[in-house]
Amino acid sequence: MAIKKQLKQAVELLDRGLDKNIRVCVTGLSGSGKTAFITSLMSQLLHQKKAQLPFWLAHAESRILGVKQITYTDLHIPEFPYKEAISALESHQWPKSTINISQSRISIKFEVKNKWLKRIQPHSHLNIDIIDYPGEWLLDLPLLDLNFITWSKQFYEWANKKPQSKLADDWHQSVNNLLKAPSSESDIKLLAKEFRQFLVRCKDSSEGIHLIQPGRFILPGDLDGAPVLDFFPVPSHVNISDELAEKLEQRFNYYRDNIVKPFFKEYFTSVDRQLLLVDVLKVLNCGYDSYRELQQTLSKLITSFDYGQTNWFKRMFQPKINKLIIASSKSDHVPPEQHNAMRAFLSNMLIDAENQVGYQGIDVATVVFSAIQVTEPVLAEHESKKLACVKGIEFENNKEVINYPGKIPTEPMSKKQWSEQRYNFIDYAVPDLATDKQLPHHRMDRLIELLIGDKFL
Amino acid sequence: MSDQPIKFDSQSVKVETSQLDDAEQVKEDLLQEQQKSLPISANGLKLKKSAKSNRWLKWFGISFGSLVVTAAIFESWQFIQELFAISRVLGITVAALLVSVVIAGFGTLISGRIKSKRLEYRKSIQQKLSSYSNNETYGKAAKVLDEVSDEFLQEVDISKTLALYRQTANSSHNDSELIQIYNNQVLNGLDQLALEAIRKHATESALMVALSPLAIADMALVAWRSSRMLQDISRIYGCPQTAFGRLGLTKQVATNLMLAGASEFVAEAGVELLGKSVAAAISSKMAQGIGVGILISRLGIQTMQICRPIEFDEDNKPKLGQIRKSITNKILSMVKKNDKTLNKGKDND
Ligand SMILES: Nc1nc2c(ncn2[C@@H]2O[C@H](COP(=O)(O)OP(=O)(O)OP(=O)(O)O)[C@@H](O)[C@H]2O)c(=O)[nH]1
Ligand SMILES: [Mg+2]
Repeated sequence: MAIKKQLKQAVELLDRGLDKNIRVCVTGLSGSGKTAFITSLMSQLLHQKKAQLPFWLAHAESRILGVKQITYTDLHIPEFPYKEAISALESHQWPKSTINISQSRISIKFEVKNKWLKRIQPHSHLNIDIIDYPGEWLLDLPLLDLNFITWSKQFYEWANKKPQSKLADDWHQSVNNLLKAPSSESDIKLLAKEFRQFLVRCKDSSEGIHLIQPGRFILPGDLDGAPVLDFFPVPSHVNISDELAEKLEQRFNYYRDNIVKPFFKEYFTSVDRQLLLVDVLKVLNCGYDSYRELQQTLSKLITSFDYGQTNWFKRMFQPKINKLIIASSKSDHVPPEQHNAMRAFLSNMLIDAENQVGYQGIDVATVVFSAIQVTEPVLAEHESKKLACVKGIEFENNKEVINYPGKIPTEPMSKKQWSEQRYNFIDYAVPDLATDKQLPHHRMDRLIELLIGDKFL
Repeated sequence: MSDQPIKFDSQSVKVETSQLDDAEQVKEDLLQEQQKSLPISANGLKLKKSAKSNRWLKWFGISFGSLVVTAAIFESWQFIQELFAISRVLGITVAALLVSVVIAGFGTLISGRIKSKRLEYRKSIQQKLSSYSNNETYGKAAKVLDEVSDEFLQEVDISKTLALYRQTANSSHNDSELIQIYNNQVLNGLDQLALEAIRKHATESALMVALSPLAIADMALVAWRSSRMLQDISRIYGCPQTAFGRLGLTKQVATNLMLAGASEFVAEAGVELLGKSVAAAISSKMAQGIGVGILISRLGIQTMQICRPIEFDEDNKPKLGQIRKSITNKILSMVKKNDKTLNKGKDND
């Protein structure tokens, strides 16, 4: 009896040692495909029994016994609306842009492969936690390292760059007028509102602007109308009263310390794997300025997550991230012939950041994939040559089209090349899908393998 | 310009859903050129044929060969004439036999040549596929793999695994992915089959050598068994070799064995040589048997490497360990049986 008890204890110890819980952090700006990815991931896992996932090795070896969605124990976080997402897809809609945080836990039961562990425990399980949140909020992360003055300075540097400088005139005017006006509470509210409108203009513009900070100004969640959002950056050449400066700084600090910090603390602590989703198609459509802006934004984000010892993020949150996967979704917009080029483009764009992270000893991989494949590769005859295109239903007018989006380069482009090369990546609608089986995908299996494959010992 | 985006109405153009073949791609010749000029590891290296062959030796070979052939023709001529002298019928029969031997000989030679052409072709396929998977091309591998499947189908029934492969692969997979899927779903099964054949032949020859009393018989046994094994393996991989073709294959296998990295050899030798305790327990004849068994299984694995359309990578390379174990077990169990019968004999005394 005693031996049995000891054995049981050993198993429990082993259980903990094998970390059977893994926290995957899906990072990405708004529209990069986080919600679509999580929906597809859950669909692939929950329908794994009959799914084609050849590059998820544990699955290919038929070692996955079953997958279950578990109700999350943190009752204050809503569950990821998987059913809603699926029923949206069923009615030919994409899941709506996320406006609040949600979390999902999936448990996978599998057969142990390791010959020693197998003797102690033939079956094991892995719990995966994934959260979804509005991408806009992610951009608040770099704020944690700033104060009101440095933030204002950074903001105006950014606002003077293309493409956003074209939209900033109104805002500059309003803020300069502040000099003359008294700074009553209603004035502050008004200016904060105008600041917000400027950010919204940036977001809605077709120029491809990314660094829209602070995130809750665009998507306030439950903070809508709260006074904490009534602040704005002040340019250094404008002299404002001490009283106003103090007020603005106080609100900025409050926003940073009581809204942003707890958010990251709660959801980004003890993350094991990070998936960074990047929408490269949008910048290809929008051109050089947008490309540079996204590059800088992402570098800022990646280095905020910096995994080194001395970094403030590390000190604050102690993440255990040991793998970063940089991925670009929506590969189904691109003819498969060019997927390799698309990956090279992604990798070239983030080469510096990748290098820095790699230096910290973190594995970095780049992948091009589609969470939900809604097009089909075809060869179209054009000027008596065959052109590799994709066929799908165009989102705008619900018409079936065949699109050749332009040629993605494998080498970094010069500014001149950027201006010469045009791209036309169009949005596609969701076609008729069977949702009782795995959603059609491209390389989700490889992504699963990269994210969690090593846990199926 | 074909680089600029174009959008078509889906009704207005002719489309194909098949993968591309002649669409613009990385130039194949260039790739192969690169492979030649940039050896990445010693694995890709190969000795060139020595340019300066010995003139004397050549001369000797040719003159000696002609001498033998002339002598043979002369002797047969005499022989047949003698036979004619004895009886016409006998003469004609033997002459006909001779002619049929010559024709059959040539026939075998030629068909062997053709079959070993097939082996060369297999090698070119190997190179093609490995360059596709290293360079992440798109749309080229599917055709080659289909061709390979057709060759397999002539010898082995792989329809089931092939169907599985077709179901898994889709038009979004690039060449490297397709090749991996094919490797996992079709070739893995064939590998198992080939390994089974190796195990069978190696164990059997080990037993035969251990039991045979004559050294000369051993050699004949090894030659016969290994030749049978080469035939089986080449058939499993869809490029069957005849006796003469097998000579070419044997030559390649031998060269590969010799060229196999020294490190690999040392690593294997350490484990393969039996533990001293075991070696002490069995007779030298049995140790020879085990040695021969291991040699034959090495030959077999090399043959797999030559015949397989997709090269093994580090992960799926077949290991000698399993086969070695089964050979040793077989021989040892035989030793035990012998011991028992011996002991029984003693008890009876
Ligand atoms: N064709 C295709 N389009 C996709 C795919 N994933 C995302 N999209 C498109 O990208 C849009 C945004 O995707 P979401 O998943 O909502 O992006 P998100 O990162 O969750 O965005 P927020 O919720 O705003 O932060 C979708 O509405 C689709 O139009 C994909 O795999 N294939
Ligand atoms: Mg979302």
